[in-house]
Amino acid sequence: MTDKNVQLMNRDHSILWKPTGALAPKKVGGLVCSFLDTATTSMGRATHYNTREEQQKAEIDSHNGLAKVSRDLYAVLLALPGVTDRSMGIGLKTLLSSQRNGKDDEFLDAAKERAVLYHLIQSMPPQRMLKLVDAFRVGDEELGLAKANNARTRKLVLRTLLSSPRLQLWSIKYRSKMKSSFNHVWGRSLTTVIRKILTKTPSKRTNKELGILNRNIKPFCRDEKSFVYACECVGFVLGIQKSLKLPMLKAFVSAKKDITSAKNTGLPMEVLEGIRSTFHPNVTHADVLELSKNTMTATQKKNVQRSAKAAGVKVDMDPTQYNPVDLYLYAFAMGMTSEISDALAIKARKLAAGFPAHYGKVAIIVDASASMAGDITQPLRPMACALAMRDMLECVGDDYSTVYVGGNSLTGHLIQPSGDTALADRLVEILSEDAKPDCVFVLSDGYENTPAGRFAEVVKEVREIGIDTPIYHLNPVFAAETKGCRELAPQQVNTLPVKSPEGLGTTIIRGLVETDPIRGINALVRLALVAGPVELKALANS
Amino acid sequence: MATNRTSNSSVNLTIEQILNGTTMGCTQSVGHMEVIPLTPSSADDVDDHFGPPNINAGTSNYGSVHAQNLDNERPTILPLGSSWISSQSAQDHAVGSAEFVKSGETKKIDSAMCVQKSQCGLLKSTNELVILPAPLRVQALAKRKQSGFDRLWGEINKFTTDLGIHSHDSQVALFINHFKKELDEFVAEFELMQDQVGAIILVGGQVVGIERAPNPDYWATIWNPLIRVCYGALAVKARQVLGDVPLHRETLDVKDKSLAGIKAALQSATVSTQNRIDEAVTKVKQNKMLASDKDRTFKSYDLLTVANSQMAGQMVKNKNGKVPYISISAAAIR
Repeated sequence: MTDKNVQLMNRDHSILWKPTGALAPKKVGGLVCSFLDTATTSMGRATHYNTREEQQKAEIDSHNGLAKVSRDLYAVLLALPGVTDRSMGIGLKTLLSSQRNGKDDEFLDAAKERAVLYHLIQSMPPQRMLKLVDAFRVGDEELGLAKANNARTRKLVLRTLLSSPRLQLWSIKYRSKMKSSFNHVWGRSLTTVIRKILTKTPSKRTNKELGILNRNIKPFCRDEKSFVYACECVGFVLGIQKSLKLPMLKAFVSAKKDITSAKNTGLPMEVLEGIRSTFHPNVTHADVLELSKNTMTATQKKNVQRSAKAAGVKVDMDPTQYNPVDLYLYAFAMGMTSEISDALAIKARKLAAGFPAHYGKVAIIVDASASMAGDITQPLRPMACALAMRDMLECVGDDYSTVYVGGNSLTGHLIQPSGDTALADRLVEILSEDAKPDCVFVLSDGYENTPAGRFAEVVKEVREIGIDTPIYHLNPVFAAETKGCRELAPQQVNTLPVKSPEGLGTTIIRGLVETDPIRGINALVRLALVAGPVELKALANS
Repeated sequence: MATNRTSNSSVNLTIEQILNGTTMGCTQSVGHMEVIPLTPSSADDVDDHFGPPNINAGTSNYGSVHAQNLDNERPTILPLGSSWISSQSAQDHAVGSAEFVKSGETKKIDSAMCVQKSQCGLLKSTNELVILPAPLRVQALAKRKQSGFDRLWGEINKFTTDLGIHSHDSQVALFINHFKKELDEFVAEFELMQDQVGAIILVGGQVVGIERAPNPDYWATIWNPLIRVCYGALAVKARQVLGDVPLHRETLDVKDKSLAGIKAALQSATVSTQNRIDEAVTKVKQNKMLASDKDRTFKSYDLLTVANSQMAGQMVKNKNGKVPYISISAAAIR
């Protein structure tokens, strides 16, 4: 931590940390809110309004702002549910490119920070994790992005790669990215040396050569068996395809000669597809689907449903394997089934159980107007997100009432966005119900047009007559023209960015940070400690 | 459709007659701009003969645009005021009249106008369609039969200067770049209705545009270019002249301080808005438009230019008297 204004308060059971010195709680609260907005919504991509560079600069500024105030608070909050892979990547790079300076008297000690880093990198999908490893080499002074190429980074990467039980699969699926990672952490000359050593049979390796392997591979493996396993995978990645013993690696080589030999070997579909197009042009895509249908990942099974149907291949898909937003997107594309509907209901109840509050009655206003159809690049995502949040919010109280603005009902809980956005009338309607709600959630992209500003006027009137029911505006759409989410009633209603119901707990607590920074930030820290690595769980109970 | 033929062989049409076969939806209102969506009154009022204007355009000489209809199945109508504003090192161009373009056809339009004085170079293919700001579109229409690729430069310079953009250059892109944020917001804030085929556009409480497309697909394609630049220009000007708060907007007047009172105030504001809009639209509906002889003919469809003292534009009429396409706008807010 470069600034000692924030410190852990171990003795206080309700307050884990609080700012000290000249730093005002409100200022830290502002930095935390800015960080959360970025960490839970921004994807660092160009939007209709902003260039990629502008988006990335804003992102990095918000990360650096919090990291400068408290390195440990920053590290812990990266483990919050709902933080995007991209933000975890920026966090890893930020922490790895700067020194902890051996300080143990802060929120975390060096070992705990290492545990956080390991937890973050393991939480990422492998392709993103490998892309990040590659990005460690790159810095951008103008953007404020430093390189991360120190011993700590190298150890983290090697531990992540070499101790993974999925190393064999990764070696096949991401061979060139893995090779690039090894070149990065070992350097080109050492990588060449290791390749030469691995070419030899183990009995013919000299003591010096064994020493090189013992220093560069063995420390990152769990035991002797996994060391042998890792050596073969590393060799394969570096181009050694002879004397293979691991079944998947052998299958990869065999499939080049006879693709049918790959059945039930675990070779992933995209690898088989690559082998097919290079070595077996006469084999059809349908044949590959048939060969790989039992080894596809859950995401692949979902993504290939349409092509599998067209090819007449039945690929079983288990709806319980997907997050609710993806399930809704799938249902929009392929139709709702009772299995999907049941899976959505189970997931909603499960997510609601982890929600940080429970209500008597919850009121939900779902904006299903045309703009919730989203952009052509991600069609229906805002609507899918709103429906998934609706399902969960309907389970966070003993009772609920849900109303819709616009939209056409399709089969099985699906709503096709259409029409204009008249949120104000629905707010009055829902507050006028006989059983008064304890809380109102408005799920909307924030674009109101009947007329614009009417919702804010109604909220003002509602407050004036003494109705203080909390109203939260949950917004799944990042509106670049406002550098955040578009607000429905600025200064009156908390607008909270949320991409998925999994991140809703984080988002709700963000609302608390705005009104009561210390309580809010401590609630966030507790949530992150529980969701983070096992090494941090004890802190949550302190 | 009943029409009155005048002595100079032109025809008089009321806007009500032109809008026959459409139904008005609920008004959407953001700032100074209000939009009344138009949906077809019946299935017979949708014309699927024309596809959306998926056009790939380029220039072969200054003042000469070649517009390729990328749809190989259906002809299309190149919208009135179509322009291509590109980041290429090439001169941006616009056309002053709507055009019929057959399926897959590359139509050469030699009456195009340059809308970027300072830039030279020929435009390579681009398919990003922009529709000229309403004040310029009306001028381009008036000059559609004149010659000279530079004939809109004076109007462009006056248009940008009026909006407070001081430059010796004459280019539409100056306006688009200067008001980028506002124009982007118009696109986001107004929403398409299901089956929508057109809209009546009001700025500052007065009708400034009437737009109708042959079918919902066509409308969905031209809506963004229309709202963003064509009518966005009028809304930007209204904001400069009238200030941020629109005077015509009905505010909530809650007399009874209760939820029932708020509900009543909401209903009252809605009714007042509707009455005001109805009045403005009714007044315009009775206005007569003088229609020219046909500018173009394609199969059983005629392209006509229509105008009165407040508005001007073009329409496509078929032999049954139906109007699958109309685009009429005011040059300015009064």
